[in-house]
Amino acid sequence: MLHAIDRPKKRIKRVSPSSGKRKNGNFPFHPDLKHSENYHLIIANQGEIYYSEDMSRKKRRATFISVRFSIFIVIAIIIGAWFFYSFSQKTFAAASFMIGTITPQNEIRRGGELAFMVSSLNQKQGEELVVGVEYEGLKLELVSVEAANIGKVSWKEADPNGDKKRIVVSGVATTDAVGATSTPFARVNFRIIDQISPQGEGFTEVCALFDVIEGETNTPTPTTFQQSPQQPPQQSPSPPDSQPPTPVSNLDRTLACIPLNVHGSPSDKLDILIIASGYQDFELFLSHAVRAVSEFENTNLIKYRREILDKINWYVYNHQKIDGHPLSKEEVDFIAMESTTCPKDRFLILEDASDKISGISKFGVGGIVRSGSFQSQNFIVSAHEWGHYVGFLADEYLSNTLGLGNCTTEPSDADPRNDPCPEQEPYQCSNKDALEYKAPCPAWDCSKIDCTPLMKTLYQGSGCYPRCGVPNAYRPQAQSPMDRSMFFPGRTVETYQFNGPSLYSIINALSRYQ
Amino acid sequence: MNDRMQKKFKQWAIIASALFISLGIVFLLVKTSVVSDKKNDIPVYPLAYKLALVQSQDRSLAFRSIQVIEGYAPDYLAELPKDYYRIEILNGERTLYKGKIPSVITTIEENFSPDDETAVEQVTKTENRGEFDMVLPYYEKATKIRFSDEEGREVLVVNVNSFSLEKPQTKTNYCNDGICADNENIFTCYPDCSQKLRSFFERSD
Repeated sequence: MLHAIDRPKKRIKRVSPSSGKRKNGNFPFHPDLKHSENYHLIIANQGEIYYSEDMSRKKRRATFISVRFSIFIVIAIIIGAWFFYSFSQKTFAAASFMIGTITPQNEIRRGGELAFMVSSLNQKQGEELVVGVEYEGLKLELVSVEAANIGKVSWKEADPNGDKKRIVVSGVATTDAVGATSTPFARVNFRIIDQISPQGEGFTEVCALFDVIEGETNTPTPTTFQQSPQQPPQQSPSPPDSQPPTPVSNLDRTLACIPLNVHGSPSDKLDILIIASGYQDFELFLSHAVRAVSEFENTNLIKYRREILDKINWYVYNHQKIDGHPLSKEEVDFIAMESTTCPKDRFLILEDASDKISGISKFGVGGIVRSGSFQSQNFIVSAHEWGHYVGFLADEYLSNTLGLGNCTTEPSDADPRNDPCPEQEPYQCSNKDALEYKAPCPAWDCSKIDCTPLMKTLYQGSGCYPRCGVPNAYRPQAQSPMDRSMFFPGRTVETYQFNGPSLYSIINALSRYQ
Repeated sequence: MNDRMQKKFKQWAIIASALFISLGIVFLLVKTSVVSDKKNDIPVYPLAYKLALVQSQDRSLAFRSIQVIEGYAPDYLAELPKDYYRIEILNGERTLYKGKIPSVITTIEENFSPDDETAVEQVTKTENRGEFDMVLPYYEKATKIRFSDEEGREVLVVNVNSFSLEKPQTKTNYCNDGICADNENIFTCYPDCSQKLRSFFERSD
């Protein structure tokens, strides 16, 4: 008699029904034994118990095996992906290159040029050449990188190694160079900004090569470094590795707080909210907002992305979505000072006033820029005001106001008297490279004050020029975004370069941001 | 016996593999979604304290009111060179948050005239803050908010837990508002937080 009962709770013992043999048990085979899908047949016959093969156990075992197999497959994929990633990284060994100075030793002196030639070994025509150049940031200032024997090279800044700055130089070999033959690849020009021995001993230690791993971010920048101080800056395309704000067409107008240029969480960054005042045309406001932020790409702040630009999030207050109408002055003031709808550590109000070139800044609070300031690509009023309300910088033009870190009242020992870039006809600089201006004011002279490493780096090249807010104060650089040279025909490259003490003030203000 | 040991070994190998995979997933989640390494213990939720204060001519501060509101508070992380109050939000003696706000408002107004290079109007003024509202990050466990001057002298203390502050129902923080809030990540709100993923891969290169 066969009895079907529930599967026993104890461990199942398997018995092969066909062989009639006993396996793992003490129960003989019974001819009426049948296979069951889901349960054991326990046959009680005359006191004996028989177990059939447990089909559900077979299924469980199969499932168990497939799960384990799947896990091993996943692990294998992960390990395989890691190996693939590792081996797909091509390393351009510095051993494929060599570096040597080309500046004669008797010409090596402080303030002078120091040039190195990077040569490649064993190159093949069409091969991509990439090499890293590391140099002492406190001793050398990079001037330019030029192609030596090949058509074109490009370079980009890399993460520094402590005090040592790094760049990556790349190009394409146009010829074959097999064996021990070295082929000039790139000429790297520096200016010596610190004391080295008269004989130039050890100068090779200030510059070395390092291996580069392919796949680093940022596309290279053009090599030529235009030194044309008499020419006003043209509206040239931004360097390829710059990160301009989102183009107007790509802005997401469905968002309450439109990200214009966002680098991270609001709690880690200085959040600046751009608010429209008086704009009837929302698209015009957006274009001006993009313009206001794009100005920074035309300044030397692009060299300080990590320390400055990447610490700032720019948002646009989408009044079209939130309020549904152009904002009144009261609404603008409320949003600027009290609203919590969008992240806001500072505000920037753009006022629709095409006939006005002006701005207002409240230090540590926010700023206002009137839209007439955007009528020329030479104007960087937004960046100027930002220098006030974020960087705590003073005006360097005559304003009858003495400012902060970028101005000082104590002249250098040279005691310069005349402003080489006077704010009067013909509004051109003359003799601004004269020695009397080159010595730094004591406030920026690291031989006279205790300087941190950051100060030492940033104060390099600071001079002492009369006029900084008031006539008897001094500024560290002939021109800068904090004066009015952006409006004058005599504007130069310096007009768009924040000077060292200004950079220090800005970086210090943002030091607690990530 | 050998069979049993083999089976045990296999089981432990599976457990170890599963653990390894889990840790890897957790690591990835942490790096790409969870905000870490904050300099300030900024709270997660878009709530803020709104304080109404009054500043006297001698720059002392008086408290008027406090409430909890919905929204983003400034983080006040900027290092101010001078003329500031230090702010600390405390739980007992433990500092939950610290920042700085200007104690005076210096305003520069400048009107340029490129058509006439000689013409520029510039007005600079420095004013006390008078009556003003300020928004601070909200902390569930905060007991007091302390203001001190540049020399570290206490100017004002607000005992937060002596007020029954009602928290509003938050409604403005939502996915697709353009803000990757601290309680959002690329898995819960990709449109707002996709920047985090891009930043992660840029940093790992």
